[in-house]
Amino acid sequence: MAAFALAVLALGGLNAVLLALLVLRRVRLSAEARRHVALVQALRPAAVAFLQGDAPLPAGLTAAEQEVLADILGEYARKLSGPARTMITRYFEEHGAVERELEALARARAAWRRAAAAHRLGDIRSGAAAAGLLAALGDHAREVRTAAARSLGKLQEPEAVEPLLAAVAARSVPRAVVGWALLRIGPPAVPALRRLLTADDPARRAGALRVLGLLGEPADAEAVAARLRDTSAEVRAAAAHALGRLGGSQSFPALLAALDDRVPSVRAAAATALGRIRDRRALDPLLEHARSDRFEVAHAAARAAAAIDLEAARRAATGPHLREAVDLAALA
Amino acid sequence: MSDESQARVLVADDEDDVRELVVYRLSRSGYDVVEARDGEEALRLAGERTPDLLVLDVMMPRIDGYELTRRLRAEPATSRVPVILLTARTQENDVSQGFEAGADDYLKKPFNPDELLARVRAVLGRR
Repeated sequence: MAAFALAVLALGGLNAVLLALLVLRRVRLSAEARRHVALVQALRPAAVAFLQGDAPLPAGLTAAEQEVLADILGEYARKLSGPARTMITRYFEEHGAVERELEALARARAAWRRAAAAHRLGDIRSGAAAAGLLAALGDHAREVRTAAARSLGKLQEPEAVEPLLAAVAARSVPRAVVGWALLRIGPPAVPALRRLLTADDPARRAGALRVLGLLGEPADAEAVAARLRDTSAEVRAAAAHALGRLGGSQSFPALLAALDDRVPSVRAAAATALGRIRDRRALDPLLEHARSDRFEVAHAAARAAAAIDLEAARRAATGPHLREAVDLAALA
Repeated sequence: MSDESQARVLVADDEDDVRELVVYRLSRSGYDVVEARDGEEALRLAGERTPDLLVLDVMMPRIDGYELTRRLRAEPATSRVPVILLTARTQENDVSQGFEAGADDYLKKPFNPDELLARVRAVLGRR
């Protein structure tokens, strides 16, 4: 009985000690958070004046103050462009942050640390980080590869175009992330995308076509239309979509021919593209496919026909897809 | 308003760092700047301080920038005060939504503070 009472007392004491430790920890964390907020409020005016070119950053800061200042500038890096943005990059370059993050990206054992370094390098936007980020596309952790791809987009690094499309082809980085990164790179990506139209790997050709449709010029239509005769159906469908976005009547005959491709997804892509181009000569073939083709194609053809001529589609609306397309077009 | 540099600008943004930077930039350029931390405070201050221009974030608590612009347009006292929207929402329909609400200009984040100042000057110069 005495042993039991002793055990209860010991447990109670242990609980009290644990509770006290938790309270102490909470108090310490709150005090740290308050100190951080106070430092942010104290240092932000200096950061703002620095970013407007009015004053140098204060000298003689403690390590904690320097860390908070770097956080403040990192936040501004995501929200500003122009000369202020360039000053932030220069600050991080001059204070060795690029080297530190590259070191972490290459050597940190924990994947989340490498991914965080890749993210920060994207925010810093120093061209000196490009090689390290390109190497990180081969990291064994998906979150690191994805963060590196995003950051290469933020750096607007044209050299990243081919490796990014290779990463999509290998499914090592999500397609949406690579698409975002390539669009961020923008027009400087176009020469590499043009070269990739004849890459050996069909996934790379298709990827290049998808982005070229968004970034390219009407003059690219001829090279893109040539891909409608590609051996890969994925490439032919991507070429049709790209032509719909690039526009231009010169691609009309090739798209019309693709409406009779043996693969339904290519026919559907061609129908969608013809609807975007809105050439009236496509109306009758589209109405025919809307009445008689498989669901996927008929649906795309019906919507395209309604986009070209709503009244003609309404008069011809004999099938369910045409009726639906007409109704949807009337709502728009 | 006889002198553009004495114009009063109301800046509303719930992000302290962005608001502080915009306030600093405009104050340094000679504007009389009033700041608000959310849409509700901005609406109140717009009625009390009769600004010549408003720079509004779109994604604000309580009343967002679109709704705030609509309410300003509905009030006779503020119906003609120009509004510049500053936002991270950059889809085409976001932009058109801003103009439909009655905004005069639209600047996307990340933004260049120099460009914001140029737009403020341009909008005030058009009045």
